[in-house]
Order: sequence, then structure tokens, then C-alpha cells
Amino acid sequence: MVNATRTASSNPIGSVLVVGGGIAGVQAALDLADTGYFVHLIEKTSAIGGAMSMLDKTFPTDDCAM
Amino acid sequence: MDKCIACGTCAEKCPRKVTDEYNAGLGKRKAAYVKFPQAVPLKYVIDKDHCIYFEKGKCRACEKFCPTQAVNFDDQDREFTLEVGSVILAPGFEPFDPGVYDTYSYSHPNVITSMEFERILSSSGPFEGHLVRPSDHQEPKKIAWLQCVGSRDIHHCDNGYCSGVCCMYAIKEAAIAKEHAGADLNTAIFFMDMRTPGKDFDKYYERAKAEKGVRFIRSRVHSIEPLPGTDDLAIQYVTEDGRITEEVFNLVVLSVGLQISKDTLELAEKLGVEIGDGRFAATSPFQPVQTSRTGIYVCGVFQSPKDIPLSVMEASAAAAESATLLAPARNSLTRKPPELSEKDVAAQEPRVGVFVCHCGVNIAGVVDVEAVADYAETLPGVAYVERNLFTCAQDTQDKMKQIIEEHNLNRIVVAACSPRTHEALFQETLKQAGLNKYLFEMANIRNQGSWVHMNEPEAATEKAKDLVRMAVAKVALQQPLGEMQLGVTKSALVVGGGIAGMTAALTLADQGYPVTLVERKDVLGGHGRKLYSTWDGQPVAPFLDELIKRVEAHPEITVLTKARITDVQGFVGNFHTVLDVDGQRREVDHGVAVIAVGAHSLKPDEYGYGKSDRIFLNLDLDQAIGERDERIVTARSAVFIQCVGSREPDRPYCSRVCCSHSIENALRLKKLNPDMDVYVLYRDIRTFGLRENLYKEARARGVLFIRFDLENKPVVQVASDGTLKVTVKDHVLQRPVVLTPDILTLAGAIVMRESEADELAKMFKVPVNAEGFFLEAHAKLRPVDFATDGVFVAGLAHYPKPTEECIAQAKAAASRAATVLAKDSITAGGVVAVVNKDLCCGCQGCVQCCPFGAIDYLEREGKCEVNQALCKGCGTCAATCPSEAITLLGFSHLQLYAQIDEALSA
Amino acid sequence: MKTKVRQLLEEGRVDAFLAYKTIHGVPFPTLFTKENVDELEEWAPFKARYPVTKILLAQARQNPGKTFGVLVRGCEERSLYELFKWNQLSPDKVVVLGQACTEDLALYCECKKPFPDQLDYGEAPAPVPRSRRLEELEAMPETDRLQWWLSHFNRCIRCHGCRDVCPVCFCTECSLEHKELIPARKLPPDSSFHLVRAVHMAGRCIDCGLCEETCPAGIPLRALYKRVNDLVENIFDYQTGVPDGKSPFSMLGDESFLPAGPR
Repeated sequence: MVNATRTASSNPIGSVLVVGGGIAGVQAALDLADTGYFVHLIEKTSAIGGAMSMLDKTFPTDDCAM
Repeated sequence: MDKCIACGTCAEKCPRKVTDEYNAGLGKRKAAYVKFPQAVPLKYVIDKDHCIYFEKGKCRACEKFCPTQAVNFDDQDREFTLEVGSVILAPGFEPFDPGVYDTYSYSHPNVITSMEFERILSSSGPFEGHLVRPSDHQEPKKIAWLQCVGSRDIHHCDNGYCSGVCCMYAIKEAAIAKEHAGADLNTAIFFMDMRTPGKDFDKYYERAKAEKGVRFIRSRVHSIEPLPGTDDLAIQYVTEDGRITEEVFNLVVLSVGLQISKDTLELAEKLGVEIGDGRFAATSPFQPVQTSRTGIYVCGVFQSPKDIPLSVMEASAAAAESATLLAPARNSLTRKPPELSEKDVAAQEPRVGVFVCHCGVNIAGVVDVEAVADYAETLPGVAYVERNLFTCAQDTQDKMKQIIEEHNLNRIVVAACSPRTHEALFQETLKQAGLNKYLFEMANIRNQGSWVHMNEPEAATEKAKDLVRMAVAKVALQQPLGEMQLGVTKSALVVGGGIAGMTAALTLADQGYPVTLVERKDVLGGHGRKLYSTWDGQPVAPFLDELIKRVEAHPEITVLTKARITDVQGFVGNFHTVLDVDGQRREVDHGVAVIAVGAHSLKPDEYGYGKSDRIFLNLDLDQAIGERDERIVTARSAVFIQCVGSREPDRPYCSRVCCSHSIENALRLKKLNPDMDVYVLYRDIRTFGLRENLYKEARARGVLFIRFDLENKPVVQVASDGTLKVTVKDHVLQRPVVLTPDILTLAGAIVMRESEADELAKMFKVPVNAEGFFLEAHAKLRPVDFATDGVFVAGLAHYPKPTEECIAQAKAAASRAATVLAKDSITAGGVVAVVNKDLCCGCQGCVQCCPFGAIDYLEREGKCEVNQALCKGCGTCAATCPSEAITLLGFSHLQLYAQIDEALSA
Repeated sequence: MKTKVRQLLEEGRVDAFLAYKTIHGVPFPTLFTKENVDELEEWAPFKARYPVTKILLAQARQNPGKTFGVLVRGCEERSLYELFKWNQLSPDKVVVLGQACTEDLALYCECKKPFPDQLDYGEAPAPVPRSRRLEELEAMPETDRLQWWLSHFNRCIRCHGCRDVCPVCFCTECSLEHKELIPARKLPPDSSFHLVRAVHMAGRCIDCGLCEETCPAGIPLRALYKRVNDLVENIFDYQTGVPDGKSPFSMLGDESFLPAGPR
């Protein structure tokens, strides 16, 4: 449930909710934390990593996904 | 959760086995489990749906055996209410479930999905990386991949789009399978179009074909039949020349597409986020990560099907959007760690504390830890030794801090596991105890001891002693390492005034950072000026005008046109750049730089280009259609030739945008005149993602597609009266077809002018690839960063890409740049290399090999120097230096020799 | 040759030319300038070999900015290529005239390329691809091989002649005198002495054989360095003594991926 309490204000809240702990969610969370925002990262399963953590290697460099 | 030390006892003792979803259902796990060995957080959980206690009210074995009392059966789901300024949706995808294809025998154990195959290949998978098939655990001799399962298909499912990743992952799986099983493994990929339009993808495809011998069969397979009396499968298919053939395979992999799960769609509905085509979040190419609801952004596959680098780019873009929206509240909710004081122990004799870890039974079950501890006490410099059940446990850490203080220890060795996972934790404890965190060493007696020598406990114990002796010798020579703080110039330089450059500039300026935008030409806009519309038909010009207006009016942006960079000095946070602005010298200080210099369209030297005014490039055709040019309006027949200058031996990459662009224009011609005969001569149609809709529409509207091979390229003849004749060998009919179009459009490649990029690359110390495109730090995980800190890339300078990807990448580059600008200072030092100039003979071997551009050659002195702000402590230079003039602090030659001596002294 | 060198000097293309002068019947490396170019003899084949590029390097270091000419054999040209690559000499400050070795000398040296790319004087003799010593070594059982090496190393008197004569040894301070690396004042030195030098020759040695000729203890150093260079060639596909090619070390960093900031 998301309720908009303050909209487009000049006094916004300095935190962000990131939904999903896959590679995209993790990258978004890291960038925001590194630029001065508090991040709530939520993930349905018991570990972050998402689909990428299930891959053996990744194209086109054949790097280990882990 | 704080108490769990991930020893794994709970999982070992748990009596319930459950199908493991992490291994795509191919293996078993316990009801008390950790998702995978490298999980973050590394904490075991109890699967409530399968736990015997939750089912029957009895068991609690895990609780009984847990050494740290971390199991809490009273834990309940809790609801949190969070106040946040914005939301980023990155819910990902679910792999398509191929069960709905009733002719693919998915219920057969040897018909598996690509995700299952990933797990089979993985060393952490169900067969420990041994390539065997599920039915009988035999090594397959022949494996088939079937493409487009759950993609480009509106008959079995409602997924008309192309998933965009399956062609590449199938090639990768086939190539890796051959690496596992040997070159004799027969691999065949059944496909419709080979879609490898990403950076270095085509090269990978060509290598798989030519070097690895992966077979590529252009055929849509109808059915997979189990072969009675065997575990094998028969695939019947139609060859390109129309023959029906059957082949038997030991294993069949279904290359399943990506789709949005029901959960995600429900979430979107709850959030009031609009869903668009293909059940992906509705976005616009000009606002690629903006959902229909203000403040909610989307990235990854929920935005549209895509691969990892694009997902990562969009994630950074979404972060940039949030950061821009919330800029007034930056740093209002973040916390700063307290400053700790440090004891000066540099002049003290070493007093080494050694902590030997049992790791439950992980180490102590094999290694005689008591003997190791006794031995450690005899070593020179050792002042204190103790054993811990789990050294990493929080209470042990508290105790360690106390012991360091009580016994006045000034060097610490932990004999336990890998520094890769635990060094930071122990270093933090050292800091808390007032010691410099570098006065620390780990001896990995678990991974390198008890685990690998499980069956030789005595040898494992001896090795543990050796490792401890080496660590003590090394740490005794360790000096405290200093870290220093360097200031950050909180402004950016953006090179290139096209869509990518302007977007990056605006994104940073909107967050309050001053930006200097440098453009070579006298106007902003770049390639965008020539673009007519986005792939989904939205006009580019109004967007571009608005963008230029905003950039020019922005108080934080200084636009410099007719400007050229002549010199770049400095490093991350502290660049100093010299420009030539219309003949005037100008200097700019900046903390970061974004390279968005764009690319060029190839002027073809084939297919009669330039010999007739009826032969166009797509960009010219855009304009001609827009102007209702006479040549277009009167045309009764049009031909497009694809891959002009792309995917050729001397330019082995796909220009990514041309298939969509040609089809867009083919459709516009059809709309202008539905009776016009429109032909697209192509090699593979690469309308990735939702662009597949264009391809579908074009076929529906009667655009004819004729495929050709590189070996049989179309031939264009321009007669003296200007009429055109195009001859192409039709693959279906197996004979030449002659077309006499009124207009011919060449889908030319996007190319870099190498000298230009090279010059800039040298000045910023960043690399370019063989084709002249800028080379990012990591193809997957750092798609807009360079290995050189503080410099970022966006747009066509990185690789050919469509507008929305340029915009996402530009925002991503801005986001990454903002992570530097948000800091007040940059920490440098610690484990870095230093050059002893007395020994340096200026050979510059180190300059060549440094992956981070951190070493400069000082011309005047004839010596090399490491820039500590850029050095990442990899040690490559120290290993390279022929004179041993370079020391990697924390890994000095002296320390390493001491370690080697100790290793050999047993 | 005399005319050619005189022309180079007079046109100002070189400030001095390093060639040979016969003293007591033995050719001796000599620096010729406009003043003494008359003493330069016409070219004739000879067998004596010197670390001529090392002499050149010393001259270049003493006289920065000056351009030198030099008469080189095949091996000497190879060493020049290395010195260029390692930025010890600047190619635009060196003018090369090349001479072929005699067939006798080529056989004696077992030289794979007994003539320079820039061949001005003499006829190129046939290359000698095989090294008898290496073949003997390869034929030896591995355990004997180690003993064989150790017995040779044990004769070392630590004179550093191998290093001093080596045309591609250019460090200002030498690891062989690094007392943490190799314990000082020990005779014979630890075998690490020879192993360190071997490691430093990997990817650098141009197989001139001067070290082995110089060694008073007759240690078969050339075979040792041939072996390490074979390894470098096999692993990194890198050859020494050719004009281009980045150091094999430069590819170490190619796939590096490390987090930002100090550890």
C-alpha cells in the first residue's frame, strides 16, 4: 500500500524505498546511499542477488555471476 | 538474526528435505536453510511452509543444536510503515513456465529450462558443476537449445515481445557446456533470428560458431518427442531448404523468456502504476524509468525485457531520478559513523594476539585447533593466544576488543576463514579497540585447511601451523597505514552536447551541481537533430527543443560550444581541464567527467551509395518522408538493405538500432502509400524487446522480408538513367530475385572516428575497444563507469543504442558521478602502491600495466609516481617492476619474503 | 662504412657513432665523432662480441639530448628493441647500422637470428634454431635436472658478471643485492640468487649469451633464460627482442575489477 502524504513538495523526505533485491534493486540502493539518501531495500526471499545469483556465468565475458 | 553466525548446524540437523528453488527445482535443501552459500545477508532461515514444527508442532532440532541460540520460533511477520520520498520498483521477472507448450514434453526429466541448465553448469548447483542430465546422471553427448519459448509467441502465451537475452544466454550455455564436456559435445541451437545486438555480442556469436563449433539451425521446432525405450528426445525440424529432418538429443534446453509475475502486476495495481504493452510498466522513451505515478520509478526487466548491463544502467538512472526529486532532503536522513581515535603503536615491539577459530566443527572437526593454539604461543612476538568456537560471533568480537586493550596487543592474527568475507569485520573490531585496522592478518585454516584436507587431519593441522606462522611473521612487520582525505570539487564536466550529454548535465544540475557542458559544434543537439521519431513513433524534435531550452536556461549549466578539450590533469574529485573555446583558452576545475561524445553514421562505400539520389540512409529517409519529398511520394516500390557496414569482418558488431529504424520507415512508407511494395533485405531481424511489435505490424501490413547471407550479399546496379536494380538470393525460393525499387535505403552502421575518441581517451586515461568505442570498467556490473575513478560514459560513445537507452545511460552516468560529488572528501591511502624513486629507472612497465591509470611518468625526473587517490592496491605494478622499486603497502617485499621464509622453514 | 658514418656525423644526424677500432689486433668498441672519424676502419667481419648497447645506454644517460649511431649485430639489435620498449633509450635518438655475424659465430652461438633487421654489412648466415644444451636438458629426468642445476649454481662466486654484462639489465639498484631477497655475504649464494635473476630475465632476455660467456664458473645461464623465455612465449604469446608488443605484464590488469577506495 502506498499513500501519498506529501506530493512534489519543496520539503521532501530524504529516503527511498527500493522494491526488489536483484541486481537492479541493489545498484539503485547503492547509488542512492552513496549520494546521501537513506534506503529501505526490501526483498521477498531471504537473500539479495535475484536471478543473477542463479546464473553460472554471464555473457559475453564468461565472468562468474557470483 | 544478529545471533546467527551461519555455521550451518541448523541445516545439518534439520530432518526435512525440500525442493530447492535456488537450484531451479533440480536439487534439495533443508527446511532450515541458507539460500546459497554466498548469500547476503549470510543468515539461515526457517521455511515456515515446510518446517516440521510448524506443520506438526514438534521437532525444533535446529533450536536445540544452534550454538548461539539464534533460532526463535516465536518470530512473527511484522508490518512496517515507512515514510519515504520516492519508490523504485525493481521486482524483476519470472522465467516463463514452458508447461503450456503441450508438444515440448516439458514433464520429461531431460527437457529442462535454461535456468535449470544454468544450475547444472554451476559448481554450486545440484551436480556440482558436472554436466549430466537429470534422468540418469549420464553425461549428454548431444544437447539442443530451442529459442523463443515463451517469447515472440502469441499462440501458446501472450508474450509477443522478444525477451532480448535468450539468444545470448543460449550461446553462452552451449559454449560453456562445451568447455565442461569437451569439444566433442554436440550442441545445436534452433532459432528464428539470432539476436545478438549488444556490445561484443556478435563477436561472441561468431566465436561460438567458428571456434567452438556450436551448431546454429534456423528453424522453429514444433515438437519434442521422447524416444521410446531411451531417455533421449527426438526433434523434428524443417531445414532451410525445406527438407524435414529428425535428430535425437540426450538433453533439450528450452530457452525460456522473461515475463512479469502476477505478484508484480498486483503490486503495480496497488501502487497505481500503469501497465503497458507486454505487461511491462508503462514508460516513455524520453522518460525511460518514470512510471505513470510521480515519484515512483522502475528499472530492470519490469521496465521492459533486458539484460544485466541495461538493468544496472536503469537502476542508476532510477536512483538519479529519485535523487533529483529529493535533492532538497539530501543527507537529511543518513547517518555518519562516529570518529574513533587510534593508538600510536608504530614504534612498539610487536605484541601479536592470535585468535584460533573452531568455526564450530568446520575447522575443529579436522584440525587439532588446540595444537595450533599451543604452537602459536611459541612463535616470536606472540603475546596472547586464544581459541574461540566462533571468532566472528558478536560476543567474541566484544571480547576481542577487551583483550586487545587489556593485553596491550598491537598486532592481530585471526586463524579462521577467508579475508574475502571476514576481514572487514575483524578490522572494524581493531578500530574499535583503537588499533590501526591494517595491523591485522588472517590465516585461512578453514578453506585452505580443514576443507581441502578433510581426510588428512594431521596434515591439515601441520598446514594450519604453517599458515599461522606465516601470518604472524607478516603481521609483525606490518606498519600502521595512513589514510588521507582529499577534497572534492563539486562540479562536473560533460563532454558532448547531444541527447546523452545534455541529459547527464541536466540530471546533475537539477541535483544542484554546477556543470560545464562542452560541445564541439556550434549548436547543441548532436545526432538527435537528425532523428525523426523514437521506435514507438514519438517525434524527437519537440523533446529535443525542450531539452536544449532547459539546458541553456539552467543556472547551474555553463554551455561551451565550438569547444575542444586540449588537456586534462588531476584525478577523481580534482580534475583540471584545459579547453579551446572558439580559439580562446579556458580552464575548468571539476570533480567528475562524463564522456558523451556520440558516434557517427557510416557513409557506405557499397550498394551504389552516392551514385543515385534515390539511394538513402535511414536518417536521410526520415527527413525525406517528413518533407513529403517528391521521390518518396511518387515511389511505388522501396527496398531496405540491412547491416550495411555492420556485422562485417572488419566491423564485427551490430549497430543495434538499424532493424527497428528500417522497419519504422517501412511502416511509414506503407502508411503513406499502402500499395507501395516494400522489401527489407536482412540477415537477422533484431527487433529486441517490445520492438518485436513493429516487426509483427510490418509483416501484417505486407512488408516483405528477404533474408541474405554475408556470403551472398545483395547486388545493386544503378543504370545510366538512374533506375535501380537490386538482386538478392531468396532463401526460401533458393533463387535470385530481382527488384527494381524507386527508392533504396541503406541501414548504415554507427561508427566511431577513432582518432577523435583516442585523443580524448588518452587525456582521461580511459580505454577504447577495437572498434573505437569507449570501454567501460565492467561489461555487466559497471556499464557507465571507467576503471579510472571519476570518469563516466554515456550514449553512442559507449556503443550504438536507441534514444531511450542513451537517456537511461546518461542519467546513470549522472547518478554514478553524483556518488563522487555527494562526498565532501575522498579517502585515499591504505593498501596502495608507492614508488621508491631512487630505485625507479623509468621503464614505465608499471604505467602500462596499471588497470586504473593511477601511475604517471614524470618526464622531468624520468621516474614514475603512483597517484594514491586512484590506486586500488591490486599490486600489479609491484609485481611488474623489474627493479622492485614499487612497494604495495601492507604487502611489502620484506613481508612477503618473511612469509615465504616461514613457509619454507618447516 | 667510413663514408656512411662520416656523412651521418657531418649532416648532424648523429653526434657520435659507436663502432670498433682494432687495438693490438683486437676490435675494441670505440666512440667516433667528427674529430676521430678518420680512424674508423672499413667494415670487415669479426668474431669479438661486446655489450655494445649497454655501452650505448651509459653514453646516452650521460649525454641526454645527444643522438648516437651504433653498429649492431642481430642480438644487439634485439637488445635495442627491448631498451626502447622499456623506455631506457629513445628510438629517435639512436641511428642503427647493422652487421651480419659470420656463419662460424652463428653456429658457435646457436643463434636463432644471427643478423639484424637493419642489415647493412655482410651476408645473413642461416639461423640455428636448435639449442643442443636445451635438448640435453629436456632429455634428462626431472629429478636429475634439479640436481644438475643445483650443482651448477653451487659454483657461483657471486661476481655479478652475468648482470654487469647483460645488455637488458638497466636497473639503478639491483635486486641481486637486496639483502632481504637474497641473504648477503653467502657463498655460494642461495639458489634464489639465480632464480631471481631468471625471473627478471623472463620477457626480457634477448638470448645473446654474453652472461654465459662471461661467467667464470661456467654456469649454463643461457639455457636457464631460454627456458623462462619459452614459458613467457607459451603462456603470454609474447616474444622478446622484436620491435613492438606490450609487456606481458600489461595484460595482467585487463580483467581487473576491484571496488573503489582503500581496503
